[in-house]
Amino acid sequence: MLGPLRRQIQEVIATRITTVIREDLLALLRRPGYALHADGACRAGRLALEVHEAVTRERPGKTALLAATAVELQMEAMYVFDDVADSAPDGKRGEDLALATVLLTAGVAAALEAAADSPDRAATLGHFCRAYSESSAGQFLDAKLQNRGGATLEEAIQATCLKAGGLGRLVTGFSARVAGADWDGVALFERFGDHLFTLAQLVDDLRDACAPGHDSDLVQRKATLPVVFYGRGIDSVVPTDGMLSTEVRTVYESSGAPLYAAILARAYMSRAEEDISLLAQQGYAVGGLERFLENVDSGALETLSAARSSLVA
Amino acid sequence: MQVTALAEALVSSRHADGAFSLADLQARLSRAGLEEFARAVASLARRVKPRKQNGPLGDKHPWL
Repeated sequence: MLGPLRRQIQEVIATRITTVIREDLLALLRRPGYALHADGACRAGRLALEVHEAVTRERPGKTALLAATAVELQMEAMYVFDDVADSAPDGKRGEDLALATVLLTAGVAAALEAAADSPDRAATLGHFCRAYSESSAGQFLDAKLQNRGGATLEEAIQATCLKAGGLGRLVTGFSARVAGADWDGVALFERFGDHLFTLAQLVDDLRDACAPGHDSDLVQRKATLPVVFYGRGIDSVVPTDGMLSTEVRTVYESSGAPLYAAILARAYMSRAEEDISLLAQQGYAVGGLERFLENVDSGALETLSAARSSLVA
Repeated sequence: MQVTALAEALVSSRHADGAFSLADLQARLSRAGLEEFARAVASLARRVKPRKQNGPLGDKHPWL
């Protein structure tokens, strides 16, 4: 499934983007973690293809691949934003920001073509813009909270739900509309995408709190839910030299923060499972969606293992 | 989603030795009407197999 998606992404760039910037854009997408890298997850594009197959019960064709390309390029632009926001200012990141705007343009071009034959083209594209604007608002709020400091848990969940949930709604809602799902089905797919991507964000936040060195969310004092929970504790030790020390890691793991995030992740997992059950009742082929959900959830328990010693039955 | 209420219940369920009691937490959440979180804690408890009260850790990787 990833091979055809990657070829479609390259075709969109080759046919929609000016030659001046094309090779730089492809080089960006070949970086680790990005769509054209061998290990790139292409989470948005893969989910879009699974949704299309759930609706049509057919292997993805050109339209499905274009829809998947559209949402994947929007997500890749978000990755660039994250990279730039997390990096030290060195005067070079302006180039990446320019490439991010090109990615957005390519994504919109793919979306226009994917939606050309959808039953309600205006509603399909309207959803594309609205959901992405919600996700972008979440990115903005996330960065604002990190700069301001002292975020509350309520602010952190709002940013998480907007940023990740909005992206999930974009992916599943757009793909379901392009595939021709009815109104009830579209609403259910959107809800599933919201819950699935919020779960994925919580799993990532669990993992990244104690990522090595400068990449740790604790070191960067990000406004993620586990980091904000940790910061509420009266005995929380704060990283001071830009590196994650063993002491800070130990205090964090015994603070309850990993458990807190794992409970939230588990609640979103249950919501997503319920959504899949309702989609199955409506006659959609949900096998691929179930496998996708299991894959996302598998990271949560592994990450929680570090804090097991502080849990009793 | 009542994330602050969950945080407060979690902190309240901490024992003097620093450990978190999942059974206590589940009961607190149920009493507070936070059933979605109570179910999530019950589900986690089944999957991570926390140690018994005053007992040793379970298998090293029980979910693998």
